Amino acid sequence: MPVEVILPKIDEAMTEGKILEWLVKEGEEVEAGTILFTLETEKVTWEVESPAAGILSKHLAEAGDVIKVGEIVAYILHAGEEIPQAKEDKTSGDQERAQETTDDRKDAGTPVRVMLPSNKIKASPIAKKIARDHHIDLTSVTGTGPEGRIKKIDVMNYLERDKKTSETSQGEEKQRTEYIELSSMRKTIARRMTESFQSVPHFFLTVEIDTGELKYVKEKLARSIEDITSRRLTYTDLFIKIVSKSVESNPDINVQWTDNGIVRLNEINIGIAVNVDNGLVVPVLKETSKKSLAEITLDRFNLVERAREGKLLPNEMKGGSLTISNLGMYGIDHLCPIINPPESCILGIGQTVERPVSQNGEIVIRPITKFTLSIDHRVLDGAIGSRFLQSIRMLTENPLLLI
Amino acid sequence: MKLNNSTIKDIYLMMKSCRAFEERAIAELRKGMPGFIHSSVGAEAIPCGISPFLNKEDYILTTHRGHSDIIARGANFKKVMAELYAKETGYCRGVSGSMHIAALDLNILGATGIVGSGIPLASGVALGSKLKKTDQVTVCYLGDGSTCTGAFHEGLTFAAAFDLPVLFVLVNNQYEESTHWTYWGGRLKNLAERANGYGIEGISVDGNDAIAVAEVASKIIPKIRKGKGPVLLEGVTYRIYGHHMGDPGVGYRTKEEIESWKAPDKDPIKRLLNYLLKNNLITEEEDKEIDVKLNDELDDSVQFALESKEVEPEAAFANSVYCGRDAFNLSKI
Amino acid sequence: MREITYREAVREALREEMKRDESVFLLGEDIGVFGGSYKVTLNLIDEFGAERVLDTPLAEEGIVGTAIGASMVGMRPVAEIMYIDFSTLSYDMTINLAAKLRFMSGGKLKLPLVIRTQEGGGVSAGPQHSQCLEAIYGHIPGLIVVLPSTPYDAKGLLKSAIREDNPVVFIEHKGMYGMKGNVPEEEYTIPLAKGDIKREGTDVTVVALSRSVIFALEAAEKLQLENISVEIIDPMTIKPLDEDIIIESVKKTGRLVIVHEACKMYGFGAEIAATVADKALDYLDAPIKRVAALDVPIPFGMRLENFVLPNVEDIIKAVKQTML
Repeated sequence: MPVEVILPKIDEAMTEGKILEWLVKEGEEVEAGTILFTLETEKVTWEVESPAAGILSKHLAEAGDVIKVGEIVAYILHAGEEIPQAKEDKTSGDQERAQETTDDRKDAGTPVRVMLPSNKIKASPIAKKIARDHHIDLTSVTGTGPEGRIKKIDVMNYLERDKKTSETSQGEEKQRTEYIELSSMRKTIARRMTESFQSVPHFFLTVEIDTGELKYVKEKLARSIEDITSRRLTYTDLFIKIVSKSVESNPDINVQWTDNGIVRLNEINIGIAVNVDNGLVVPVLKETSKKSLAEITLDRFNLVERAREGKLLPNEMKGGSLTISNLGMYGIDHLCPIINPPESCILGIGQTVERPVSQNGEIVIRPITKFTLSIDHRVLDGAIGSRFLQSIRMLTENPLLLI
Repeated sequence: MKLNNSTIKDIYLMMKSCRAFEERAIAELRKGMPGFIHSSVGAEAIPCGISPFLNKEDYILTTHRGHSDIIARGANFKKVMAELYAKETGYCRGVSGSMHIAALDLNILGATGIVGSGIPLASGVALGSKLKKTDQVTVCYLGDGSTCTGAFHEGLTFAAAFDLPVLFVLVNNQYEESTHWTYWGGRLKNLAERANGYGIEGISVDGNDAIAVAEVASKIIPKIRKGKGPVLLEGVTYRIYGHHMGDPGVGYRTKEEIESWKAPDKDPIKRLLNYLLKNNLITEEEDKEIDVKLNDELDDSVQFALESKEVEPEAAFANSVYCGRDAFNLSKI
Repeated sequence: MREITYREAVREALREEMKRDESVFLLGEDIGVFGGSYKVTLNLIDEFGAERVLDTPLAEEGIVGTAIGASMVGMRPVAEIMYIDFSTLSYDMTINLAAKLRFMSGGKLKLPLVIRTQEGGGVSAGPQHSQCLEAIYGHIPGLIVVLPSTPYDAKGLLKSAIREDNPVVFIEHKGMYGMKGNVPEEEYTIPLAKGDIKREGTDVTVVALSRSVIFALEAAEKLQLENISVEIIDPMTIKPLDEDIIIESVKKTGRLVIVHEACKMYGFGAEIAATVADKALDYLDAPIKRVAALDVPIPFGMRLENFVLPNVEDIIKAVKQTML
């Protein structure tokens, strides 16, 4: 039976040691007690003896190696024996951590502070607490303590005066309003939309599109899509297909503005704005120009479902060429949406209204839908925006061109 | 009490138990068992020569180098090993480790790692027995280094002042960590001479001659029990391994010196084996069987220790920091 | 009710407990025939004999070590360390053994010993005979630390300490031995680990220990004349500490002053201040003040001692500071 030669624990704090020198070669005969190698720990240099008589096996670690306590560094073999098969006990590879978007995973937000932060003002802890509870701005309180420190009595006096003099004191205000705690999603939306609105020069192009043909095509395709996917075909799916194709034929629209310059995207990915409880998320369908309508329908269904359950992965919310925001089901005629950064445009779709229009000199009633494209003017100009919108109109009014 | 052959053989078995345990504990330490071991290998004859002459009610106190002392007194392999492995089935629930094992059912009152500090304790224990008017004897194991401490002086002063029934057993293994006792004690012939400072009896004996130790113990313990007063009994022996198992034990002494104390004319176990063989009290085969049996018992004890659980933190501090009171401030924040 | 001195109160407690339980015995330097250097154990040897009132060699480590050993085998020793300044010699016994042996044995050993000592200055005893060192014991897990401030408290607390199954360090004050106070004839005990409201008030909480309680009471009387109402809390046991009584008081008053005769740095006051700042921050209307000795050796001579040790005036000043 091969006998293990381990790296011994020499003192209580030791977790590893360095092999300094092997004093016995592989294949040499040894007695129990023969010194096999010297070991260096933090505290001492130690001579490690052979636990048994036999032949020293191959060195499983070399001079200079740092080895953990208890690891096998060689075996003492008897004639004819071999080193036991090392059991591969590699730990499974590190799981890839999905890269987290910065904000979406933070803890639930703290209530909004509407008062001035009182930590620059000298006040006793109880004075600060009373001020917090009554939403008193401590900068309006006079302190009578040492060096102007605000004491409890000062805040109490302020409250008394305040109650008497002002009708709409903040205490009363507190009764009329109600403060809602911010969720992390709301905070994120607030931040991103503010950033977009403030730093991106938006301009807006609107076309009115006749969606009659599209409706007809949708009805015709509905059954077969449902058979394939078990999901209902929606206008959104068709719009995704149309917009993808339009991006294909207008590749200059598939760009983003970055600090280092304008970046053209290699894929066509379409984001769709989805309303969820108390907020908005934008799942992104990937490589939509390479997908069939059925695939798009299925994709869209799954993403929207996961979006509503809050289970989208970070990379499912990134990488869009542009976003589609459809408020038609809410009865909105026309919207000028805010661009979803870092995309360079966003398409807002209103409701379909049966309206009289002029066709070949005659008045007819047609279903008309307003499409508005918001564009980042740093990257795109009216011409390309217009061409893009015209492509969309062309395909919407002539859906068979999608084939 | 004359030494009869069965007593001598018992002493031999006990010494083998002590050594086998210690060697196995060291092997476990090398494999990763936590903490320190201050091994008593080489000094087994002293506790084994003394223990047969103690009553069950007698007390012992020992030190950080006390494994042989407690095994000679009957400590159970499993519970000691489990304590070394910090498991809740150990003698002290795994909270203390090698240096502080107490086993109240064996009247092993504990072991202290502050050198010398057990000595006044032993005087106190003996005082308690005296005040309760029992005839219990207290055995206090101590080392050569401890004779330098104030605690040694104060403990022996008290024992002498009040005629306390203590046997102070000075296990002179010659090295205080890395310092040979003659470095500071060179003016003395032996450390038993320190007894003169207190006017109590001091006896020096070859601590590796189990029979000699036993003969002294068999005579002196009954006298102490009858009220003779405290005695300082020095057993001159040798510490085979380093101060603790992280100390290679050389540098301050030579390998030749160490090897010489392992030789059959010095090592206590080999010496007694020779005596037993010569007097036909044992055969080589029997001796080997003892080894096998001890090995099995030790395997069991290691198995027991490995399979036992560690004590839960809340349970470790419940009713043990204070008696009958909760430990408080059990929150780090 | 009759009045007896603090010293007599301690002696009565010892006598009653020794009568009640045979395992209680005393040991210490000069406690037997001489009656103790502060005469606390006077005449007890006549009543109980030299075996139970044991005069020991001059060896603090030996005294405490012996007491510990005896307590391990069922006795209930009350060891006297003449001055807390000398207890430094027995720190290894108290800190590494008495406080830890039960835990180290896995909860098996019981150590019902009491170490009686006395602390404090104000008698020109000099730097090595005037210190207050309760904080050192307060820092060690496994000990119980008691400081009585009146004869009534001294007797009741000492009886409880002797009956307690854990090591108790019982710290008297050399300047209070002659102080008189009401002590009932009937037997009574005072529970350990519970504080006492020595005076009720509404404006400021003063937490005080040992003789500082007496000074605080004097200060409170004077402050009352200026319409400042002081509440005085005497924790009596500093370990385990009755936090609740202090926090309840601070919640009521909003102001905290801590007084102790020990030096300020790392003293008992720091512990109370931190605890209150943690658990009652929002109730505080002023910074927490500690009144304590200067961080210097206690000097010889009245004038210098007065300069160093906290007194009634200091407490009044501190209270007024919190009212600003």
